[in-house]
Amino acid sequence: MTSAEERWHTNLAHDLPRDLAGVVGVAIVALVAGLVVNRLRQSPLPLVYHTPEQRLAAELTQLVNAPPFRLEDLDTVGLDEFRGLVKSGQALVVDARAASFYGAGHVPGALNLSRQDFAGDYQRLRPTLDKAKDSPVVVYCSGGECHDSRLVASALISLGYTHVRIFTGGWAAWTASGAPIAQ
Amino acid sequence: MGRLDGQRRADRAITLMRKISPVYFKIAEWGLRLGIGGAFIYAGWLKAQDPISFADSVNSFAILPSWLISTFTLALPMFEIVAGVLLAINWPKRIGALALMSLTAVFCVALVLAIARGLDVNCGCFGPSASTTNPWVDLTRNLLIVLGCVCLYRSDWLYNRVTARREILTAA
Repeated sequence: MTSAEERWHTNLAHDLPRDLAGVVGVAIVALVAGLVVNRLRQSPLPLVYHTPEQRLAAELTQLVNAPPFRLEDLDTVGLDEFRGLVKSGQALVVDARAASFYGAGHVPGALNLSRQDFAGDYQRLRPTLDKAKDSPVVVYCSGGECHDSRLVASALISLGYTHVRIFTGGWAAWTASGAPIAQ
Repeated sequence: MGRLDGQRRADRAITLMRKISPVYFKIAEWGLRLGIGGAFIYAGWLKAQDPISFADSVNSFAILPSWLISTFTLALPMFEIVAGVLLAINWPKRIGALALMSLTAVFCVALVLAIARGLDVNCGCFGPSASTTNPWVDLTRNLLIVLGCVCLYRSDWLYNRVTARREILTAA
């Protein structure tokens, strides 16, 4: 056959098994590389996965001698009431998002008590938070289907905070309403 | 009459083949290779920055057992980066294309299962994000990526068929 006719008659059955073996090789290299990189991290990912609820419960146990953490059924706050509370300063507003999102923009006057680093943030904010144990507290996060506000609010309740509610509209609803933003 | 009809068909085929320059084919292949490969390198790098958030995204699909989630979370970003590099530098392109095609096809199946089960999932495809993504948008994007990878995987075969056909018809 001429070169052109050889090229015309190339087929998939010849190449596919070899290519699949190559893909398996890539997977093995990726697994080894992932484990090595994780080992070199300052905070490696544990090889046994824990859900956000389990991680927060473990942090609370380390933090204080708190009762067992459990998810609470919480009262919610609508956008209009939340805006009123922020404007009047009658409630302590807590932002449950990660520090990077808080730094990019947050509700004016909100404190950053993130789900991701709850223990560290709680230690840092404890002087302020302890004064608000019997005051109204409203927790928000991204909004939509974000559950971090509920987790952080439940953690505050387990730590003895009595008037904790969540603003389910979250950051998405706050920014969509044209309300002021702090950075 | 039969030979004249065959000659006319061959002439029309050669005229059409000459209009489709192999250069345009190669330019399109370059663009697809760098676009898809670059996107996966970026996506893998983003996931590797915050493995805990990515592990939470994987957990939200409720497919893998908990003992496998961490291993999958650590391996997947590296798989995306390695396969993306292989595809982008064209060495070897077919393995990179097949790897990313397989990976994205698995993502599509996982998304379909999540949508069918009514789960609230965050794809986590491009790292942690402030808001959740629409699974239908993710599914559509992933299907387009699978299509692109299929084209890349078979691009050499297609290119060879086009150029070989040109030569065969021209030599006839």
